[in-house]
Amino acid sequence: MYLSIIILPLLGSIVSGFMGRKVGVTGSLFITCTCLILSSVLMTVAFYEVGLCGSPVSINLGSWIDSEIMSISWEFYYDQLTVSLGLAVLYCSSLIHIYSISYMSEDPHVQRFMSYLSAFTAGMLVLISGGNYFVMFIGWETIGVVSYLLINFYFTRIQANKASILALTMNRVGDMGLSIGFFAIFSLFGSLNYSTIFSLSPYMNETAITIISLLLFMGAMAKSANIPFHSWLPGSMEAPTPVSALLHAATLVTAGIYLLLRSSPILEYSSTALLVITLIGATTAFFAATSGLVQNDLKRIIAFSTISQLGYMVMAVGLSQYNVALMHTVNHAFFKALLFLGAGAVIHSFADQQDIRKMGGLIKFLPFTYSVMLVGSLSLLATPFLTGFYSKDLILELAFGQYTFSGFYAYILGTITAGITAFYSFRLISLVFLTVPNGPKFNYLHSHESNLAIIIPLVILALFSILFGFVFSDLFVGVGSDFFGNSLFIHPNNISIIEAEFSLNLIIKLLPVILSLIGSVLAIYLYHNNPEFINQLTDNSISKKIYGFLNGKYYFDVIYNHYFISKGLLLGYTISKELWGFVLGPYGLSTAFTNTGKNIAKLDTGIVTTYALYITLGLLSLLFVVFAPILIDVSMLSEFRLVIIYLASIILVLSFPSLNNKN
Amino acid sequence: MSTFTAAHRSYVMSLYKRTLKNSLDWTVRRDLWRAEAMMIRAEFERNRDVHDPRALAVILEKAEANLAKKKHPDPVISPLYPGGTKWERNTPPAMGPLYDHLSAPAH
Repeated sequence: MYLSIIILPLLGSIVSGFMGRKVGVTGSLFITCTCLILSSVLMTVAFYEVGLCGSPVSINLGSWIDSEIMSISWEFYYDQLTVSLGLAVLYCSSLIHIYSISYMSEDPHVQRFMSYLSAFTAGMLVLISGGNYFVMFIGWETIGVVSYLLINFYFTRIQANKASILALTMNRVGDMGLSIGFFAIFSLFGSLNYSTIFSLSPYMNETAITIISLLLFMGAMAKSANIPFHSWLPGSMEAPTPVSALLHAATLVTAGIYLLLRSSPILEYSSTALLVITLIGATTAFFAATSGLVQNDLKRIIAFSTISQLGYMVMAVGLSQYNVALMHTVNHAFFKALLFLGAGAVIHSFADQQDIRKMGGLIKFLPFTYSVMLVGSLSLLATPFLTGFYSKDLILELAFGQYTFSGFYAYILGTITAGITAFYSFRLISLVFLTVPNGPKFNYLHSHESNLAIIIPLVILALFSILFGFVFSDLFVGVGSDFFGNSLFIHPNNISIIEAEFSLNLIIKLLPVILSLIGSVLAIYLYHNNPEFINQLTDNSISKKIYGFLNGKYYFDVIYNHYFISKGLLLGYTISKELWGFVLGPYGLSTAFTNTGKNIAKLDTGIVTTYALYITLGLLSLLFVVFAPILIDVSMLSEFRLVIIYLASIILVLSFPSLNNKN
Repeated sequence: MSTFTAAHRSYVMSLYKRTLKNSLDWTVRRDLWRAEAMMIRAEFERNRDVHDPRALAVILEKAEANLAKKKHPDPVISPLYPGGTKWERNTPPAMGPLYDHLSAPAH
């Protein structure tokens, strides 16, 4: 059963991708959706068995690499962490598959699309159920590649090409850090198995643990779009909306968080790494929220809110509250998928318009979509007793409850971010649904509520966005809950749930909620009731500059393009063509072989005396090499070495480019 | 019959349209934008009868500079227009060969 959970989406993907023409559009939709729904049902059973009944499952499929110093096996491990995240992944993925039936119905490449979606789900499942870092890394790379394919789904669009290449290269930078982290883990622990590493980590040098933690965090930063590797996520909105919902809100971006959660027994022994993680997480949350304030693309606003929420999760990891981070990841998956799918429904019914400045007044035309978007937004801004409240608010309380500098920093930035989040969420709601219609009449005449395949996923996700937190909060983050068992490790020194629950002043607890309330009311007032004020505000050059700065994402892309990318390319060129171009590297090897061939050809002069010289030289060399043991009294091993040195020097001499300067 | 050339008229109309569009990008709501649009129109109308090429050049240059200063960093682009979100999406593939070697002059 546990392997079927992974295999089913993979099979669906293979059938839909390689036999797409055979099974047709309907067949591919039916097969992939059925596989995903079956997989979700099995994951629910797994959640019951592993999570609720507390019996982790380990499956060893056999050895993969078995050298003397390293042994890696195909191992899958289902513990509470895996099944909790797996539940969110598979539920969101299944609903998004169903949603795509209607959303992609007019696209000519449905089979390819469904194949990618299922392949992504399979990769994500391998990632979260891998039993060692190596198997996890396979899933990690799979979702990276499929993310590239999905962002580039409309491959005829230049913007999509650019966005996908940016996403892939940005993730490669993180993967570089992650790979070095794995090398470091292997050199320190001699193994990549979770069990070995986690049981040994308390005894290791703290500096080494810090280096490893920071390297792992580099991979997580790129995957989870934290500063400074965030800039690929807004661009990835080039993908169709279901992809934005699945990859760039609910699942792919949580892979980095998963890596950090899984590595909790390593991170806990490095206070420096935890400090860095907290600071980066809090900064990311604040940065993305301020950028999201002035975005005008419907999907882009939600993308910035995703980066902001990922900042919250990373912040919770840095504060050592892994279970709260996981809870927020799962909650976020549900309400963010809802927001994206709702946005997709709006875009689809409004002539594919994405600019919120050309919408308005849609509440009369799309009342159902408005309701679900409102639920998603309220859940996102942590309205009391909705899903988001149980994790987001707790993260801020726990931050304050640490009574440290980093905790205080996280609390202040997180609380301000909560207010800003409410503001931009309700700015979206106001501009899209509430204000007077600003779009073309044609779009309004043709706007309509979506059909059942879109409505069902929205209803289910809306229910999850309302109820999931209420039902599961005590299990996941309740005081004294032992649900996670060994899967998450919080060092006893870092536990602050008691302080957060019982020692905080009421105003500290209520401040985020109050700010959220003020933010949302202000947004409705400024964008719906009194828009003159905003217009006057942006009517001078300083405001326009600030607007441009925030709208341009703090000009991070400009800085990268001007200072890093060109320099990096130049450095790469220098290394590959000039520094190592002579013998080493692919370029060096290829030129060396070409030169060798040319030089050997030059020996063919057509003059008999030259050939006689070659024969004499060859004979002398052969005599020397063969009779070396007799002549200079060496052993057989040295004799063998002599032959190798002889051959190598011939090739080296021949590979010089200017042996004969005739050409 | 206007005394201006067709090229000049088309340029001024383009400038007028760009100014209006930029203003709407900032204002968003059409009811509030109406007043601004009237002011822009009045500005153009005021210089309607300027025929001196040098004076016109100064006025147009000033208008362009003003527009550049107020340019919206994220202008509204219709989805099907170049730069829009649906531009180049699923363009039909070329069904024939990209370069027809058989009918090329060399054959």
